[in-house]
Amino acid sequence: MLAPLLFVLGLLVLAPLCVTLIYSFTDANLLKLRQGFHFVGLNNYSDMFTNELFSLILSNSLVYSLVSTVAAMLFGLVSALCLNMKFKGRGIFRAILLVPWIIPSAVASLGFKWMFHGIYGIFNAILLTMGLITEPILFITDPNYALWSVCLVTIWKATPIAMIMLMGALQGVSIELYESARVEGASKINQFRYVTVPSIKPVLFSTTLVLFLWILNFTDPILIITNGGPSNASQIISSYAYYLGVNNQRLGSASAFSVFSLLITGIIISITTRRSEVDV
Amino acid sequence: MKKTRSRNTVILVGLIILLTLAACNSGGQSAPASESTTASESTPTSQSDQNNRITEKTTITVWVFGPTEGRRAGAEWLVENFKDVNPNVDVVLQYEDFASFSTKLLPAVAGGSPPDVLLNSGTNTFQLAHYEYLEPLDAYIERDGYPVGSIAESFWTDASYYNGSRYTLPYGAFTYNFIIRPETFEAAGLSAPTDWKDLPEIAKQLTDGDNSMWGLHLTNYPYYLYQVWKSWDADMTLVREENGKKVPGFVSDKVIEATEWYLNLFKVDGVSPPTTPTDIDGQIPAMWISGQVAMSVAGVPIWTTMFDEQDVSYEMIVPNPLFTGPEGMGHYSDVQCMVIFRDIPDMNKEAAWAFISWASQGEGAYGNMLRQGSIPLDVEAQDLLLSEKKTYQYYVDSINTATWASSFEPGAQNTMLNRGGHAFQTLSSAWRGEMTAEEFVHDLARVLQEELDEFYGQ
Repeated sequence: MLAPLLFVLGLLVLAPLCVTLIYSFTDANLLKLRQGFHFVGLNNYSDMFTNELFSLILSNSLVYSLVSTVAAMLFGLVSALCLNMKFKGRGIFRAILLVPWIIPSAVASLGFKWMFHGIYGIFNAILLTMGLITEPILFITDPNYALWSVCLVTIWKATPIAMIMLMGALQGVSIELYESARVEGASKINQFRYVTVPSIKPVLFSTTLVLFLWILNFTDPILIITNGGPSNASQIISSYAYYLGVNNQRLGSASAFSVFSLLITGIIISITTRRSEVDV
Repeated sequence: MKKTRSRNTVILVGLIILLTLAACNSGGQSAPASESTTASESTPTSQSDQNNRITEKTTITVWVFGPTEGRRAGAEWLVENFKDVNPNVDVVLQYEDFASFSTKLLPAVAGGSPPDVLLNSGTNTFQLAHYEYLEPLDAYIERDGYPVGSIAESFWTDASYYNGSRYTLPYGAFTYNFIIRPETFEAAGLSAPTDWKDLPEIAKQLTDGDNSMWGLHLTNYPYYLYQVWKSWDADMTLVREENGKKVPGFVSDKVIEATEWYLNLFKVDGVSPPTTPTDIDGQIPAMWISGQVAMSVAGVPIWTTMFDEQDVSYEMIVPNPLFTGPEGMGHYSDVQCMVIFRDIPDMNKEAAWAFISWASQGEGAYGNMLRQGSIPLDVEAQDLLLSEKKTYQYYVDSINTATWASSFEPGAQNTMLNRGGHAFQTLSSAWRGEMTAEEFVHDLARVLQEELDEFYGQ
């Protein structure tokens, strides 16, 4: 009975995975496929680890994922807490806050690209008008700012996800717990700390994990806005794998990076799952 | 039950791995295109009229890269008029942006389903020819002839030959132009600059006080830097031998000096920030360098200057001493080419050849351009273009590795296009960061060397 499901799962998940794994041990090149490819052992992996960009790409990936996740969760939590209160127009605000999620990420990235523009972008126009800066900031062409700029786009995109998940969790918190806390004289902050957080902890944890893993592979803003530049300043593992595989047709090298990304994902899931089991 | 399920899972995974390995087992087992014919097999024994030569109804697909309005108009003109001379051939046009070259065309090529004909920049030809995806055109040219005049030969050659065979026919070419607004120079009492080093001062003097006009506009395309390198007072060696290996040889003090000059140019009052041409809309500079002029398809200008619609008079100076390299001549770049793919099942190669040979000569694009002088240049430049006495050095736009890589093997320059060009453009974006000119030049040399080693499997 399970066989058809397993077959489909195998085709859609396991087959690409296996192909990627196999390619990672070969010198496969998209344009040379008809001439064949050869087993090269761990060469692609050793090239990856000895690539002088590797440490930069790895640190970019971690910074991008961590910063975006933490910020999205914070903003998502604040939004969820606000929307959990009853006030007039709550429905409209909820709809507005969902807009980043609804807009396709490619469209949003293109829009942000123009907003970040060094000369004609609206961000610079606002900052210059307010007198906060005296010359435009090169958000996406300055290596010091490029990664943070794409982080901003990702945070904007990911916040509604966190908000929705946490809203659901907040609505599941029993009102009696808050009433008991009020009766005991707990302040709002203490209610949040000792009632809300423990109650939504499982959802908080799982949402953070899912968001982190999603962002680790979320390359739309990077590919569209900075293309990993300038000078690889905003390059992460997934976007670099794309660059190797698509722009350079180096399937073997791209696959090695992809497998490495998969390993990181697997390790994170494994550690966090084990910790959550221990907590239970 | 649990054991059976686990066993089933293992069997299923094993089957998938085996199937995957079998499917990926490469090259030697891929089906040969037994239905395709080579030029030699299809060559008729007598000369045939190019018109009405296709007697069976057939359809060919033509992908056109860079779907600007003018290019579409030109391509559609070609298709409509080709239909008159070869009514049995239906041409299906498909427009793709340049970014799709890697994401759509190459996978289609690798997957065995490319278009019949590709209209594209000549810079991409060699990658495809190197991996034997293109049909050599020598037999067709020999059989049907092609008006290889001095103009065509000179700036078509680099875009066409690879490993001793021709793979393309041209249908247009870009040329670099240095463009000035004469009235701004007259008003300022200045003459057009004739040396790179004069540019900053002249740009400053031309800019009026309220910054509504840039004295000089340069885009962020890296090939302008290459022009500076080539025409700077530099004895630039592109390639040198080191420990028996060919390495980039352009890392010299003069090149670093030229790069620093170019880098600092953007800080000069009166010089616009490096932007793409469309970003400068509304601010019409007194001087600018454009590589996107003088290209037409079938007499239809398909890429004119960005200010054609503005009420501005300008003068194009080609060639300009600014762009004369050691050869002393103006430079053409980026011949637009047509290629035929090979080994496509059920492909009618004769129909494809009929289309590209017609489109390239006769009433088609290239012949039209040559005959009618549709390049909107001044008379002196037109005489120069049509002269049979001069040889033009062909440079590929957007990448500096072209001429450098050609020193390794003839026609190999464009195989480095994607990698070297990406490296250069990425590096050039770092100019505004902390990268110095020296770091830039050294980094470029290093990246290009890595790409070369990768390509040649060293």
